Amino acid sequence: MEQAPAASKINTRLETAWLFPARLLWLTGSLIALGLFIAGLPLHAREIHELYRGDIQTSLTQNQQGEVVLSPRIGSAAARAGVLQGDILLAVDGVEITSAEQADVLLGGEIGTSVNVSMRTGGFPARSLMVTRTSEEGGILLSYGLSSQFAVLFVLSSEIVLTMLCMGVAVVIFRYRSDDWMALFSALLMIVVLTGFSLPVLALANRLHSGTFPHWMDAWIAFGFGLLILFFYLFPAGRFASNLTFGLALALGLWLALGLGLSERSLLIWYLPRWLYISAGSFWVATGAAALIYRYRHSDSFQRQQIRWIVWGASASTVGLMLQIFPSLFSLNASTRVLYDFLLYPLGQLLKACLPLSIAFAILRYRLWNIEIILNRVLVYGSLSVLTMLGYLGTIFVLHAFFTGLSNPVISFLATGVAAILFEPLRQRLQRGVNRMMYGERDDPYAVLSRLVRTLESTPSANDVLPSIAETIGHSLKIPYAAIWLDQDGTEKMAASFGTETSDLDSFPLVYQGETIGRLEVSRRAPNEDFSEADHRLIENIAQQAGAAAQTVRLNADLIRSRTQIVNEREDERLRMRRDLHDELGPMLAAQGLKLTAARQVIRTRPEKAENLLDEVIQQSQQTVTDVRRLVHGLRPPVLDQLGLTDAVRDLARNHSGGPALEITAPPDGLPHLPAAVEVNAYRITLEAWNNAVRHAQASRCDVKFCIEQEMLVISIQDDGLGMPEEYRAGVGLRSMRARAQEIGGQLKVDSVQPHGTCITVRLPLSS
Amino acid sequence: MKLHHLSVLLLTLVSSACSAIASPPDPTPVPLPPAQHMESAFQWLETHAMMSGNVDWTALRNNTAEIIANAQTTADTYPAICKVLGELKDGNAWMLVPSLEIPNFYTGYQTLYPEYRVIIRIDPDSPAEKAGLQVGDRIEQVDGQPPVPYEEADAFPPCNAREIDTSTEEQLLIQRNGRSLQIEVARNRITAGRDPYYPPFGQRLGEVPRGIGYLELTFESGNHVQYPTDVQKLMRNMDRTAVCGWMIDLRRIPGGDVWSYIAAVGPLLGEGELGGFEYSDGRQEAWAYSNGEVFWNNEYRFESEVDGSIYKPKRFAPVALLVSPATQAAGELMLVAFQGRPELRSFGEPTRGLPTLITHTDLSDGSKLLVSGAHSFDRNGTIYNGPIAPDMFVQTDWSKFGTEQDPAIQSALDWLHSQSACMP
Repeated sequence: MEQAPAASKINTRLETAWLFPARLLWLTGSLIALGLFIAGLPLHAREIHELYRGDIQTSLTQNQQGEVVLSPRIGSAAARAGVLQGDILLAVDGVEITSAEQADVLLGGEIGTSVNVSMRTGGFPARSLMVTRTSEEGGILLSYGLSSQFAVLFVLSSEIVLTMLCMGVAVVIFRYRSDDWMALFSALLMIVVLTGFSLPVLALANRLHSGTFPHWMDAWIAFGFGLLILFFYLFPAGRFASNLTFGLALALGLWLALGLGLSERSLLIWYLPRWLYISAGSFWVATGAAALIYRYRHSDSFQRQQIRWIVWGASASTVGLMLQIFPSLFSLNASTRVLYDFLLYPLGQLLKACLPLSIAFAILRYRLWNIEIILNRVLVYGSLSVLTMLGYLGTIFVLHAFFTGLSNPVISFLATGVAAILFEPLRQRLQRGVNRMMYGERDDPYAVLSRLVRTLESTPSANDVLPSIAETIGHSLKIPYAAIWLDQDGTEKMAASFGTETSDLDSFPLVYQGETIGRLEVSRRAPNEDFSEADHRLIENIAQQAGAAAQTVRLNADLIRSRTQIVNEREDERLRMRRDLHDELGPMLAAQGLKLTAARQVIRTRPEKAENLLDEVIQQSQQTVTDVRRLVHGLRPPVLDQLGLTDAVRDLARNHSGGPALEITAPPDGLPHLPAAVEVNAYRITLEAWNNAVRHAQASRCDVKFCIEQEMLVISIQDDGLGMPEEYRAGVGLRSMRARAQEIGGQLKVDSVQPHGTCITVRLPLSS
Repeated sequence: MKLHHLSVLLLTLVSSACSAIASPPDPTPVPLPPAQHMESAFQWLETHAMMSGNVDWTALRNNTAEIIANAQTTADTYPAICKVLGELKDGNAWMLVPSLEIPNFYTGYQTLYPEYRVIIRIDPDSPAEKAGLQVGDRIEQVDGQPPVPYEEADAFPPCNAREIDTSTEEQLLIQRNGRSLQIEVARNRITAGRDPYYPPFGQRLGEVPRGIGYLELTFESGNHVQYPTDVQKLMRNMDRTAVCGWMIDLRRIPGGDVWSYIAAVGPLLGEGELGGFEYSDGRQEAWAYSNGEVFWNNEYRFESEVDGSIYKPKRFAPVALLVSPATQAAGELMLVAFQGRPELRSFGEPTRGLPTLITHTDLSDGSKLLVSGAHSFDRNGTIYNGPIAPDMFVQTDWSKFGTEQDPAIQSALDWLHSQSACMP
C-alpha cells in the first residue's frame, strides 16, 4: 500500500529557474539539426539525381577564361564518342554554353537519349558529336523499370519520413513534458543524432568544405556523440548510476573539450590514429552500455521494461547509423552503390527509426512521462504516412517492373489510387493496433468477455476463479492493478488482486440479482487519465459477469462452512450423549445391577434386607427414567410431541408470567404435520425471538403468526419493544436463529417496525 | 524472439538482391572513322603535349595522308600515332591499347635508367631476393643478350614491335665485386591486382646531440592513407630526441602519387604554396600545403589524408635531399617542391628528367594516350622540364646504398653537420 507508483520514483522535474535555459538549449540544438538537415536536403537530392540520371559522364570545370573544360571519365560513352580530355565545350543541342552549371543542366537527361555536343580541342575548329546519355547506377535502376526521379523520391522520402517521425515524437515530448529534463534530453538526442547526422547534412558538409569536415562540423559531431553517451549514463533516472559513471562523464567531457581546444586542426578525436579513435569511441560506447546494464540490474521490473525498450531502440539505431556511415567511407562501384541506396540505407533508416519508436513505446506502454494519449495520434499518423508512402512507392515499383508500357503519369495515377484505397482501412487497423497496445482490448468487449468465460470454464477450483478474473481484467485492459472485494457477513474482504496497487483507483460494484455483493477495484492507466466511455462500458460488463461468478464463489464458501458446522454440531451432540449415557446412566444401571445381585443373594436368608435393596433399586430406576426423559428432551423438546408447535409455544409463554402479552395466530384447522427438523427449528427460533423480546426489547406485547405459504412454514414474530439500532451487529441470538433457518434451507429476515419494535420473519421450506 | 528469423530473411534478401543487380550489357560503341580518329589524336597531342614543339605538325599531316587513305579501322592509324609519340621525345608519351595489353611478369628487382644494368632495388620475398641478387649487382646479360636499354625497352605494343618474352625464368649474368655470376630468377606471371606496399624506411644517423633523421621515400603504390601516416610515424620516432637535420632519400622513387609524398613530408616542406604546374598555354596551377592537407589548384587532394594527428617537427632543421637518375616523375616533383626551402641542399646525380604532369585522354576506340602535359615550377617560379641537377654532384655507389659508406650519405652528413643547427 505504501509503495508509490514506479513511474513517480524517477524525479527529473526541472526547477523553475532552469526551465527557460533548458528549453532554450533544446530549441537551439533541435533548430541547428533541423536547419542543417533542410539546408542539406536539396544538395542531397541533387547528388542522388546526378548519380541516377543519364549524362555524358564528364566532369565540367571552368578555366580562368570562363570556358567550360570537359574531362570525360575513363572508358565513358563521351570518351568513346570522341570527346577528348581538356576539350572546350561550346554548345549543347545548339545552346551556347556560358557556365558549368548551365552545361550540367543541359547535358543531363533520360538514360538512352542522345545529346548534340559541340566542342573544340585547343585552337582547332569546332566539331560536333552525338553522345548517348548513360549512367551506370541509373542503368541498373532502369533495368528494374525505375527512373532517377524515383531514386530521388525514394531517398528523400525515407529521410523526410524519419525526420518527421523524430520531430513528431520530439515535439510532443517538448510540448507536454518540457518541464522534465530527461524527457527533453531524449527528444534532443533523437533529433541531433538522427537528423543531425543524416546524409543531407553530410552532403552539406562536403559542399562547405571539399575534403575533410569543416571544423564546426567536428564540434557538432562531438556534441552528438557526447549527448549519446551521456544519455546512456543518465537514462532513465536522470542521475548517474554510480560515482564511477559520473567520473566517466567528466572524463568524456574533458576528452571532447580537449579535442576541440588542443589541436590546431580541430577535433582531437577526428585526427587520432584510426585504431585509437575507433577503440576510444568503442570504449565510451561500452561504458554507456555498461552503465545501462548496471542500471538494469539495480532497478525494479517496471523500470526494467522502460530501459529494455530504450536499449533496444538505441542499439538498433546505432547499428543503423553504422550501417549507413560505414560503407559511405569507401568508394562504391555502381552495383554496390545501388544496393547501398536502395537496401542498406533504407534498412539503416528503419533501424534508426527504432530510437524514436522505442522512446515513444516506453512513453506509451510504460508511462515514461505520462503523455501517452497525445502520442497515440502521432504514432498512428506517423506510421500511417510511412506505410502510405511505402505503398505508393511499392505500387510504382511493381507497376514499373511488370507493365513497362505504362507511362509515368498513368503509373503515378494508379499508385495514388492504390494508396488512397488503402488509406482508410490501414488507418483503422493501425488505430486498433495502437489502441490494443495502449488500452488492451477495450474496443473489442466481445473478445474480452469470451476470454473471461473461457478462463472461468477452465479454472479447476472455485478458489481460483476470482484471481483469474482479476488477471484477465488486468491483461485485457492493460491496467497495472485490479482487485475484487467481497462482502462477507457485513465486512469487506479482498478476494483476489492482480498487479501492484497504485494511488489512482476506480471502483465498480459487483451486483447479483440486485444485491451488491462486493466491488471491483481497478487502477487507472496513468494518474491523471480517466477511464473513457468505452472503458467504463467494458468494465461494467465484466463486473456483471464477475458478480455472478463472485456470488457463486460466495455461496460455495457458505455451503462448505455450513456443512462443516452441521458435522461439528452432530459430533458435539454425540459427544454430549455419550457423556450423559456413560457418566450418568451407565453407573446408575451398574449400581442397580449390583444391588439386584446382592438382593438375590440374601433374599432367602435375610428377606428384609433384600426388600430394602429392591426398594432402593425401584427408587433408582425411577430416577433413571427421569434422567432418560431429560436426555431425550435435550434431543427434541417433548412438549412438541405432547402439545404440537402452537401449543408448545403458548405453554412456553405461560411459564414466563410477567413477560409480554403473547398473541398467537395459527391457521384455523391447525398446522399440518410438520417434518421433525422444521418443527424443532421453528420452535427454537420462536423461543429465541421470544427470549429477545423479553430480555432485550422490554416489549409489552408479542404477536406470533404461523401460516403455510407456497409449501413453506412462515413464522412472523413481531414485538413493540425498543427495536434494532440503525446499524446493528448481529448478536449470538440472532446469528444462531439465522443459522437454524439456513440449516434447513430457510431464510430469516429482521425488519424494524414503526413506530418502534422489531419484526422477525422466518420462512422454512416444508419439503427438503 | 523473432530476431533470428528477421536476420535470416534480411540475409536472403540482400544476397538475392546482390545476384539480381548486375550491370546491363553495354552495347559495343562504334569508334569514329579512322581519319577522324587520327585527326582527333593529333589535335589533342598538339594542344596538350608539353613537348609538341618537337613535332613538325604540317609535315606530319602530309606524311600520314597516305596511311589515312588506306585505313580501314582505327588500328590502321596506330603507326602514325606511334610516330608522333616518338617525335615528341617525351619520356611520358605512351599509347595503351586495351586489346594489346602485354602480360605482366614480376621478378622483384629494379634497374637503373637509362642502361637498365645496375640493380638498385630488390623487393623483400621476391624471386630476385630468393635467387640471391644484391643491390649494386651489374647485369651483363639477360638470357644471353645484353639488357635492353631505355630507347628500345620503354614502349608498349603497338608502338614497340619487340617480341614479348613470356618465359617463366630468366638467366642473368651479373658482375659483383669484379666477379661474374650466373643467376636464375623466376618470372612470376601476375594477373591484375594491387601493387605490393613498399614501407618507407627511417633511421637515425650520427651521435645523439647531432642526430640526423634519414628517411627513404619508397614507391608509393596507391596505399594513400597508410603511406603518409607511416612516414610521419617514422619522423616522429626519429625526432623523439630532437634531430638537428634531415636527410631525405629520393634516389629510388620511380613515380607514385605526388600528393601522398607531399602530405608525408609536408611538415618539413613548410606551409603555403610549394610550386605548381605550368601548361603549354601558360596556365599555372599551384600546389599548396596547409594544416596537414594538400591542395592542387585550390582543391583538396584526398590522397593526402593522414591517419591521426599531423607530425610537428621539434625545431626547424636543414634538409639534405639525395637524388639519382632513378629519381623520376613524382620523385622529381618532390625535389621541385623542396626547392626554395631555406637550409636545403641536394646531393647525387641528375634526375631522370620528367618533373612533369602526365595528362591522358581516351580515344574513340578505347585506346589511351598519355603525355607530359605540364612543366613544374618551384616556389620561386623556376621552371623544370628536364633532368634536375643536384647542388652537389656525388656518384652513387649502389652496392653501398643506404650504408655508412654510401658516398651520397657521407657528403650529405658532412654538409648537415656543418650547419649551425648541428654545430656542437
